[in-house]
Amino acid sequence: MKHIMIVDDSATSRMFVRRCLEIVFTGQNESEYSEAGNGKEALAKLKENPADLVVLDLNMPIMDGATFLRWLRSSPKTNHIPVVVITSVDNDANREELVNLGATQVLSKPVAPAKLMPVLNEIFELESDGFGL
Amino acid sequence: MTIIEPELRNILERAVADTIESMAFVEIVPTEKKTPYNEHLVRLRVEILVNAPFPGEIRLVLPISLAMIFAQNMYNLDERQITDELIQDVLGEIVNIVAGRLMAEIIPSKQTFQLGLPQIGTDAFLETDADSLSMEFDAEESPFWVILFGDGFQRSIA
Repeated sequence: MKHIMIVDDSATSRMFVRRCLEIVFTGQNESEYSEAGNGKEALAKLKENPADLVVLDLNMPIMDGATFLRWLRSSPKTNHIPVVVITSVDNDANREELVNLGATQVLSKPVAPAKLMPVLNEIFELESDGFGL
Repeated sequence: MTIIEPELRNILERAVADTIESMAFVEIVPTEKKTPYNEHLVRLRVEILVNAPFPGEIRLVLPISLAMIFAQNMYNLDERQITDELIQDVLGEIVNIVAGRLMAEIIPSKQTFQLGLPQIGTDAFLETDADSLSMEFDAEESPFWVILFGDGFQRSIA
């Protein structure tokens, strides 16, 4: 079972991301989801229950996504976790900065299953099914 | 108030329409009419700062009834289940995405940009100043305003 953590200060955004992930993972082995409202909360939760994937927003209070990435990549216990950044602050320059910080992939908000599928396929080598994405 | 540049107007229209139509399933149509201030119309204001590469602000002003429709559609919930907190979160996310789409279009792709965190408030007046650019839209037969503060928006596409 995959454990996916969704990190975003917006409950609405977390809801959208979770819906997309559930669609993408339909027909695959079950996944469990956890959520955090900022980077600091996410790091604390990851210490207790490591994740197979983090889906991360950038602009958050207390600890933003960039700072969270730096912390995540600085620890041998967490630096292997793939991170997909889903953000409104997306252009070539921002994307390059995020990849340099350790993001596995960067997607624009609002995310859709069709955009998420190839990214997750690359990370998890999902089995293809008939829902046409 | 300066007249909005046609190109910036088109970019802003696309950013607003694409965001709200894809997230809240509400059609947004720009309008030239100037809806008068109505003291019976309870409005919400949501704004986000642009921190870089220039200082600015993007503000949405809309009736609370329209915000309720957005929230209901996005969450697929009955009106009775929609809380103030939920509405604020929905509007915050909408302004966040509109701002990101606008900025990604108007500044060079090789230049980074930064946004602040959305702020929500009640608004009785459409505050504007000499450097602000305003557009009015129709949505579900309600007025909906988007206002850009700061001259950096127009200079970016000059």
